Amino acid sequence: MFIDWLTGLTNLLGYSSLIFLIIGMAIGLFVGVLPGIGGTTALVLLTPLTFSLDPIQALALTGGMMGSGPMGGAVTAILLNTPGSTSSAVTCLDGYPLAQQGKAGLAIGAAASANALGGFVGVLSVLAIIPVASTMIMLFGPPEFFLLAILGLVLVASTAKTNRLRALVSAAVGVALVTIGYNDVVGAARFTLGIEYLWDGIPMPVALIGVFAIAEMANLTVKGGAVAKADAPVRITGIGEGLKATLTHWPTLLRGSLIGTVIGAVPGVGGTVASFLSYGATVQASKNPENFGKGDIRGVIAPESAINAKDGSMLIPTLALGIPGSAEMAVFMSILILHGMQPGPLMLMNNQVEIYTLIWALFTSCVAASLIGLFLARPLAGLTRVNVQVLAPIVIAIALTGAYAINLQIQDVVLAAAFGLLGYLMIQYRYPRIPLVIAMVLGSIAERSYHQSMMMSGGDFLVHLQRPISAFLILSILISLMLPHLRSLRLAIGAVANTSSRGQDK
Amino acid sequence: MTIFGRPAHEYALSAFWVVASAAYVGIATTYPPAARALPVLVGSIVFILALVDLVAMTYTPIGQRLSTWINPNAAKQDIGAGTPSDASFGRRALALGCVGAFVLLMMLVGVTLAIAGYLTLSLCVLGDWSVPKAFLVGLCTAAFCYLLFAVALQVRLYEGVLLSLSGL
Repeated sequence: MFIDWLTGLTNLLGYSSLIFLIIGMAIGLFVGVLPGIGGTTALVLLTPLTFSLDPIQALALTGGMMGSGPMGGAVTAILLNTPGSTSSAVTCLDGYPLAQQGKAGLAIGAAASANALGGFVGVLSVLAIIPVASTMIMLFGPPEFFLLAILGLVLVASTAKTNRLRALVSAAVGVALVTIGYNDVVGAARFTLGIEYLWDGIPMPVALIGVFAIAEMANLTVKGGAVAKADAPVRITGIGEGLKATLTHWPTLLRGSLIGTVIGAVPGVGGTVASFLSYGATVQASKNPENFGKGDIRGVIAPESAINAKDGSMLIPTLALGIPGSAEMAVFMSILILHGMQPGPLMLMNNQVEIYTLIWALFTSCVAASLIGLFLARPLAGLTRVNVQVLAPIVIAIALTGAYAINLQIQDVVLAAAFGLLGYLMIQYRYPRIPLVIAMVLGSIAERSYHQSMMMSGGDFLVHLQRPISAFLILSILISLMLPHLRSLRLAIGAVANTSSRGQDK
Repeated sequence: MTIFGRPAHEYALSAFWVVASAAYVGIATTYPPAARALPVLVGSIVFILALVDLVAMTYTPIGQRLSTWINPNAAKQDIGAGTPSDASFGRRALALGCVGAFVLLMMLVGVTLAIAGYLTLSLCVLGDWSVPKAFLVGLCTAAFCYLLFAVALQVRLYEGVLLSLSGL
């Protein structure tokens, strides 16, 4: 095993592999910065380019792209409140308020270091887990997926700061939107209103472009000025402080990385759930949860560490079982097959060198992309000072063209604009938008897993309570539901105790 | 006009959710049992929550008590807050109208020409730029998008209904 591990590293350090790794990283960073053009689309576009490459070069190219994408996504999430991908949406919650306060450098520094260290933990976990991967993945069946999705939905609401009720409405609307289209599990087309285009459902990247990129830019256009508030410091500083903050908040980093690693290894769940669960867990573990959503640096570290840790562990089900953990992994699997590798238990035996080359490529690219992100932080942070009357139409033009490029359908552009209007109204009426997007991902997982569990058990709902991991998930759901009320009770008791002690002092 | 102490337009989105979710549940009930299970549940949840939100928004004793109970950790001034923007309706309509015009242009004349047109329109109308300067920025952005999508990413950009019909 150690020899394969070293051979993998030597392969990557070859002249041609390094060039393809750098090209992949450049594409990943660039695509990550562009709102809506996620890693999946970029991988699809890269697939034909890998035909002429040998397997090692192809793995260096794709690994480089996958490892560096999250850093690009974090940059736009922090600077423009427009995540490059769904999983970066959570970074907006605290990253953007930091940028508005003129602390974009601090946020980017923290995101870059959390990305690199999270990626390191993720890669270590793949190395440790691959030998025992199959047994671990078997712990999660449809009932556990269903409960995991419900836990995610509950966390969506419990992390909302100002209006939990509206967060719940947004989340429920997100689940409702995901029911549009043909559902192969229930065998029916729903809410298509006779429109053929809607049979495929609402494409997630299109909704994301509308709700974030278009809505945010329209809102900025109305307000005028620049993203950073006028009284924010002009000089972009604090990148080093961002690095320091990541190390200071090491429990947040470690928690995020572990959550990312575990969630990434569960097929079909993906980075959005990982980043949101990590953020939710950090808010709940915090002694001052009221700071989140207003520019707390832990709100950047938690999701970013989870996103990159997940990238490594997402390879586990793909490589060990041949089950793609996400759409991105499904495309990646097709690239592996194109190059004569068959993902699954056989690949673990026959293609160890290629697996380790890929792991090294992922690790190198996420660390290198974070370093590049740090160097580019100053010029990129300057974006927050550009007049929005110029910035907004350019971003909208690129974003809507990106919406078209996803499926080459002009209807996607109309849908993105409609979601833009919805997102703008949500900003105006103070409905949080992130629960809507997260719920669109979780809603489809919940419905599919629920029906699969019911089919498995012959309609017995108790199937959700039969395994220890289910009990753990149910307990987590109950705690998440009760926590805000328990916290307010604790504050009330604390206030009463303080008043009585003051009374005694007098 | 105010309703229970709050301007009527501030209830708009919550009222929209109530009506839309009722229609959604109405349509869902026509589907077979397996297909309607989740939609009916979720639609009913949106209906109830949006209705509660409407009540919680009112400046009535019940409304205020309800919103404090729902958001135990929220600051008083945040509870039930409505529209924060003080921008004029005209400016909002212009900003959204420009995006609408861009989508329409895209459908008619294709992506590249629409970008040049949209940038010119937006910079002139919302940014008070001169037409030649705005047009130049529009052309540069269109060229950038063309190079990025059509050349680098090999995406066949939409040509628009008018150009397709004219056979150019």
